[in-house]
Amino acid sequence: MKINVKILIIYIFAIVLLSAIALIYEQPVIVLFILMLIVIALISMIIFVKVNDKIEFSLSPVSEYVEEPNSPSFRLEYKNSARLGLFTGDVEFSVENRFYPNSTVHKLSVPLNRKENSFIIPVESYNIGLVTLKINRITLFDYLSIVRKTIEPSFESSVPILPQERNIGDFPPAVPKDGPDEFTESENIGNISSDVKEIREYRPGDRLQRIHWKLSAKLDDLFVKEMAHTSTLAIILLPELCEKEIHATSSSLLSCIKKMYTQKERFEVCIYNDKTCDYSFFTVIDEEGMLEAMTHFYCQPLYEGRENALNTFISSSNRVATVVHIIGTQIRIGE
Amino acid sequence: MIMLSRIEKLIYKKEINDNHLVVGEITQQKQSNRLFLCLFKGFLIFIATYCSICGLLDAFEISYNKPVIIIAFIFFSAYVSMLYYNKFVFYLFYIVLFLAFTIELARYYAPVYSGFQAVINIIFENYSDYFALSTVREAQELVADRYLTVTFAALFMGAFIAILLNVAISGYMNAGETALVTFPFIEIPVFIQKIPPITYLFGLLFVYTCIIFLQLSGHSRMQVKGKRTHEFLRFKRRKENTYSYQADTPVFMTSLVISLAVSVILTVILFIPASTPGPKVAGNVIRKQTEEYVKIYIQTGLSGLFDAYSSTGGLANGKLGGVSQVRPDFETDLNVSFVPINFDTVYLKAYTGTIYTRSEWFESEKDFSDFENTRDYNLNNHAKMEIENIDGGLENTFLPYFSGRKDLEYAEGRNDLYYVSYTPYLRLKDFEAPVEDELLKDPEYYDYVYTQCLEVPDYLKETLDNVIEPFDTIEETDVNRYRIACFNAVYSYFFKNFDYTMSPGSTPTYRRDYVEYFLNSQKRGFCAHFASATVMLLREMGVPARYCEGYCIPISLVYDDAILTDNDYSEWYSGESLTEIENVIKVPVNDSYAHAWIEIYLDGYGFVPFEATIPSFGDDDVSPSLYDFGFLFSSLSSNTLNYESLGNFGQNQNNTNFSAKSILEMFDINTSSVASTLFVVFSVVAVAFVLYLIVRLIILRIKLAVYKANNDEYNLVMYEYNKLVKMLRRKGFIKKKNPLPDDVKESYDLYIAYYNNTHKKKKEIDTEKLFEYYERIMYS
Repeated sequence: MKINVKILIIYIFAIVLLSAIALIYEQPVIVLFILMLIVIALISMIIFVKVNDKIEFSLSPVSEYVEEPNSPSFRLEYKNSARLGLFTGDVEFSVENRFYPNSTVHKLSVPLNRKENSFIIPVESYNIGLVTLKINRITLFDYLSIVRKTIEPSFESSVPILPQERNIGDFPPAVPKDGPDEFTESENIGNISSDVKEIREYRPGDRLQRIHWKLSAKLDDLFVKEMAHTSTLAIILLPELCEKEIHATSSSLLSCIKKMYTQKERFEVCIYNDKTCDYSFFTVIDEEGMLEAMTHFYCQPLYEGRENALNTFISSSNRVATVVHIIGTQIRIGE
Repeated sequence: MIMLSRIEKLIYKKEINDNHLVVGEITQQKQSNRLFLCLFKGFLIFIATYCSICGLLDAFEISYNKPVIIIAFIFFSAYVSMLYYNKFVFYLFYIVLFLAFTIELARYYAPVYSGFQAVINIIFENYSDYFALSTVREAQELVADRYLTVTFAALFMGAFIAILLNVAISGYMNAGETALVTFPFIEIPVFIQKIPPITYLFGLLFVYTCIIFLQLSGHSRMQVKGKRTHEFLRFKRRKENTYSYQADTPVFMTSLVISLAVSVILTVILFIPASTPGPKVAGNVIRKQTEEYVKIYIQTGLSGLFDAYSSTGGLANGKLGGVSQVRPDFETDLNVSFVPINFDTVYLKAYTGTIYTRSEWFESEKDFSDFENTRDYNLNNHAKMEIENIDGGLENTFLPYFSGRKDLEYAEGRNDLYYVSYTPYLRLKDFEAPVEDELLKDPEYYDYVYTQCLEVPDYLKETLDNVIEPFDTIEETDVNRYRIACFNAVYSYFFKNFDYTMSPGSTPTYRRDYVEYFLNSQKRGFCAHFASATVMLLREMGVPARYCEGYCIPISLVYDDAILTDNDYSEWYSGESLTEIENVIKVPVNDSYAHAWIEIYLDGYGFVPFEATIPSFGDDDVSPSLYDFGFLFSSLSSNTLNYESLGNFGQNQNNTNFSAKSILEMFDINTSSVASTLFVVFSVVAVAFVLYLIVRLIILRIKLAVYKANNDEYNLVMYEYNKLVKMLRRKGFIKKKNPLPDDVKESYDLYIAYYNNTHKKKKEIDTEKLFEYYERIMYS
């Protein structure tokens, strides 16, 4: 707990001034007003000590995602288990689109005098991206704002703003199906050792059927069987995070993903991080997977180049796949 | 899509550009009822208005129609508080309110004015009783029925106070402003120990407590400005945006409950001891000083508080009634070395006033001082006095009784140190025996004594006659004894009926004669008041008298502050002495010993000094430091027109020797006091201005450094661009109010062309490129 020196000085000044008037002009009536100031300060502090640790805050998004041109909103809630509440609390938060980091601090001063209440914080975004609201600090004040207590929670909530879909024509490209894949293979195929090309560590998005349960149980970690023919049949969506065309790229990517999973096509989304030169693969089969992929896409740093992801993928990956390279409105297919 | 108002969009345009997002209009799930909040504030306004106005009226036991007042106040409070309901109501009904107030005030002017004056008169009467003032200003009441007029006045006063409180409570929720509006109503009776009834104190206590809570809660204000009302008030401070919830119902209710509880407990427990008048604290100088001001205001009004000329304790050279208070600086003015031979006050005369006007004494056209000094007093003694004039005004020559200018001898090479040979008198009895007056044989001098020194303005005679009427019983046949008896009668009259004070208030200029105002209204004053009035009264009784100013040395000063010197006693005094002091002593005389007294003409002895001022009984025991403080305050107002000089100037306007000096003389400027005060004031203002410039420069430099450090191209360009626009505007190349960059560029081209024509060193600037750069950054 800390003391608000400015308010305290003003408060003491008021008491001293009234005391001086009472003494100089010999007016006992003014003592009433002096005592009033002292008593309410004491009451205020006593209530604050009893209440300050009984208030709990929580933060959540109003909707999991929004589509352009809608904007996301966040809900800040508090619950007070004490009988009395506090008059005011300051919630210091920052809100940013991950593509455009900023240092603007926002301070929300809210009354905390009910048993529970919630505040809707809308964020009007003028661009697609992942909007994140982070609460950095909450300061609680006593009734007279003489004493304050600061808590530093780590609440954070994010909402992706998805772009509008656009017409991408005939999609996906025709991929030759010359062998069994994970959709067509029988239950037994995976158990024949010749079908297994390699065994690798589990990555998010891998199907449960592919998990090598025996090996995973032995090594205490999840391992996945990579089938001999699967990778050759897979389609990989490779979007470029080119700063100038990010909006169009996002729109194209989303359109591709939606079209493909609606048509129950097999594909993976490969998201490139230009800082770490690393990839993340996402197998999308439903809206949840789509959101996961898009959220991850929004979290990556932007860059100026137009083919950074493609070049790095070609030079470093040994996977054989049909790569759909997405940049802006261009969707190019290659192997 | 969240809607933002146009202004907010403008404000946040930069933020949107930078951050690609902006926080929209925040809402609270459980909202507050605006109507309820308005009415709650109306309730606070009602309590504050009712308790302050009715508290004042009830404290002075003024009768009025209370039910009507309560109903009207409830209506006023509800009306004004509802103004904050929304923007439309605010603007429309504020206009209606002011129109209605003005029209109704014009319609009921007579009863309202009378009621207001009645309240003022009653308050002044009570103050007059409390301070035992002889008279009090009384305003005229147009309508006699006080019950009716006071009710009317209270209604309008209540409406006015409700409007003010609405700003303080509904607008700003500020406890200080609320107290500023309401507390004086309680302080007026409390100052003279008239405690208002308990309910009013309780009400005010409750309102103050509630407002302090609400003010400091930060959730009590309701915004009405802007296109529509937002739940959260939005502020932008540099890199921080603040969103503060407006008035919240639970906060109001909690404040109400706690305030009510605190007020009940405090009022019940403490009202009885608090309502008892406190014991008087001896030596409470601030209170005494305030009371002096209050007394002056009650008697004379606001004008009585201001000085027409310097009010230090020095000589006024005949000026009367222009100062509110005498404020000596207690600095030594004279150092006087002499031999005290009796216990009487030693007077050092510098000024003699013979001709009386409404507000000043003037010296006689012909100076008889040398002629008077030819008189042989036959007092069988001779004395010598040394006077060192430190700050008594070098233009003044101070002479003890009896001496003249020819008895003066300056120390070599000095004009501030001189010696006076004089014939001191031992006792008043020395002047009583009838002696033939040789000097009166001179017809001019006779005329001076028995015509000029008996002159009384006609308008003053009635007042003087009323005072001297009871003195007709003086039965002295000897002329000198008669004159002394007359003086004693006047002195006794003053002693019984008047008070001595150094803070009597100034005489209302032009409207009142100094002596008439003192005798009829003021009845309190200092030496100049008593001396002037005594001279006028004695003249009216046929006693030749005149007014004197100078310094006095009472025996108490000799005993307290005198220093023994090594001077030879026999050289400094020869003759009989009533004291046991056999040394030459040196006395420092400060300006608090500047004094006015009178001289009465005693046949055969000439003008003999008499003390006209009654003694003070400790009421003016004010410390030097307090006077210093008051002096600083008042000296600003002392630099005003000397009306008498103005009058003379008007009469002598045909004088061809008119000069700037004569104009300066019209203004009685005390150069030392005014100059020092003005110097202090101007120094403070100048230093504050210089500091402001320095701070501004430093802030600018810091800003630029931060912009540079952050590589903030936008702000740097904006700074340079604005600087350029200012320079061009200063040099007259830009006339438009809001020039576009194209206009600035055009003006800059013109300026460069002009510059290159007039200067040897040419400026070569590619304005095209420069403005392209500016525009790219500014509009990016």
